[in-house]
Amino acid sequence: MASSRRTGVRVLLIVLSAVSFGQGAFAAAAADPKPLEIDDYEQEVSAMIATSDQIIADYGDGDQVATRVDALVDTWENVDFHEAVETHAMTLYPPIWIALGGLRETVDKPGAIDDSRKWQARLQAALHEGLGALKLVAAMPAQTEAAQTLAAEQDDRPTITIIQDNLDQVLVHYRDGDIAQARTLIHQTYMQRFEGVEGDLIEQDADLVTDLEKDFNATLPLLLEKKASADKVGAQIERMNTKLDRAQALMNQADSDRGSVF
Amino acid sequence: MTSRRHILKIAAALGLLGSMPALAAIEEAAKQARSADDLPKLSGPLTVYLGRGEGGLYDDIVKAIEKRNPDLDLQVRRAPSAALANTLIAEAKAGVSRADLFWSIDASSLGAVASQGNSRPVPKDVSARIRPAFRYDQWAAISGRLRTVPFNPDRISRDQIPAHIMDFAHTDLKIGWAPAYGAFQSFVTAMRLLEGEDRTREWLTGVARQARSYAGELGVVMAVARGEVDLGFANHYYTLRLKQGKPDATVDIALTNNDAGSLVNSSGVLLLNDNPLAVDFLRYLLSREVQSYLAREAYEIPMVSGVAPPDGLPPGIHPPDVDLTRLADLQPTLDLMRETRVL
Repeated sequence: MASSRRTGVRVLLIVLSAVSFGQGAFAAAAADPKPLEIDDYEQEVSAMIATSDQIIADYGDGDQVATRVDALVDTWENVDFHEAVETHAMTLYPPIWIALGGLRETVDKPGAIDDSRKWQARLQAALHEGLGALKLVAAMPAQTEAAQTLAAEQDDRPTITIIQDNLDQVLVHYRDGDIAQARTLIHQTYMQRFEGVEGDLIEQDADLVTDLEKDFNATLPLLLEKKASADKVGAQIERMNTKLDRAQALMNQADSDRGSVF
Repeated sequence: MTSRRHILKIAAALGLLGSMPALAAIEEAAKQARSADDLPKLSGPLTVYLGRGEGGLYDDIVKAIEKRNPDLDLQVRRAPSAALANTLIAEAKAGVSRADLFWSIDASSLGAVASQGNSRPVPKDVSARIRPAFRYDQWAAISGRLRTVPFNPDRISRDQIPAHIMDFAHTDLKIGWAPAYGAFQSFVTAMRLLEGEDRTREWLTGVARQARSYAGELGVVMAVARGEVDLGFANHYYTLRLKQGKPDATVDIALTNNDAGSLVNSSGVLLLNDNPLAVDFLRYLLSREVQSYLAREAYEIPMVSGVAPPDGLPPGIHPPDVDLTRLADLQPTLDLMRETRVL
């Protein structure tokens, strides 16, 4: 049990590290995800929780329940909720597996009532968290940070376009008085998006990269720091977007020049 | 090794010792990169978990393999490597195997999965084609990223640069670094593993006195080329890319010797079950064409013999002997960097 817990903690630490390194709370897994069917997911989650309740109650009465936990795992694999969490809320997906794994391991032992209840509680919490995340995505697709991250991860648009849209969003936050959010978005856009393309870009125009690095790391953040007028911030973003247009043209050219693998 | 002895015994028994050069040539050929033309066609279902690589080049490779093998029913799940590792561990713990193969951009994610016993050994004939220094039982190295010391030859000469990374703390050189950057933190982790916490703490403190921080390692290389600093610490490909686009950029590459300063970190593949198709897919990743593409387009260091590294790297790469999968142990490194106010 202790070993299993350590494993669980370790797994969660990896989740947290993925999030803390700016990969967002949500990640995409499918290029063409199904539409969200929240009512169906609620029913599936309720059924899984009811099943787990009954399993643990029977385990408490001394029944052998391992095969029923296996069946619960099969159910989890087959419900639509599974794919939805995997697709739209990936970092909330492993805790469900962890809880099922913990539950399965526990019921193999006789009399581990307290531990089985703890794992059942973790399973319920993980299922509810997954469901909550899906509701959030479904309800506020354009407004939540999570949904924005999701949209970014799933976005098929060129990275430069995403960067430009993020910069426009920086201005929206700034006009709304949310300077912290604007600053965070600048940093995230630089680290998660611009850094991914600057390697290619530097071969095309190193000075342009230098210029944009300065814009991202000094010029724009400093304007926010000095509480410059929104017009000034907007003008700076417009200049950056012009440079990014040039970057896109250069990268298109580089793509067409790139040789094939085979 | 056993099979080599076996071959030698048979050769001796057959009186072929006079043909040893030919035997050696056969053995040598078995270690060289194969052309994809010589590989079996891929056919059937295969699920690959793909950690995102720089600029989507890994994705280009997967698509090219798919296109070349129309009977391959390929499912690809793309996400950050750390998140995929996490998912694989959780799935395995629940007794579920959904992926056949995991291609990660970093070894630490592979190590996290392998340490749970969720992988299969790399077949010997596949492993034999990987450069000896990068052969591991549980995962196959695909391509490498080398730590380097980019320097400005107008400001300092190559012989002013210490040959050992630990000596940088005792110079008056102006240094550029990017402490918040993941590759830098892996490098400090390697130093901590190789030299211990006390020496790493001294190094961080000593270098911090003469260091200027940048947001990323490309920024470090650019600062070196502009002459803002004498030298810096950065992965090799930033300098090569800069020189490719701007051949007259005032920056050159130096290497340290057999220490964390010359760490080679690697992307790699973990085989997650006994599906032979996964092994054959891995053979494609180690083919001459894919390895050349990685060197040519991503400036990464090929891991198979017989494929040239990207142009512009100095000779004499002597990486340290460090278990790359242990580079995931970041927390003590971050603690040290915060304690010394580097972060």
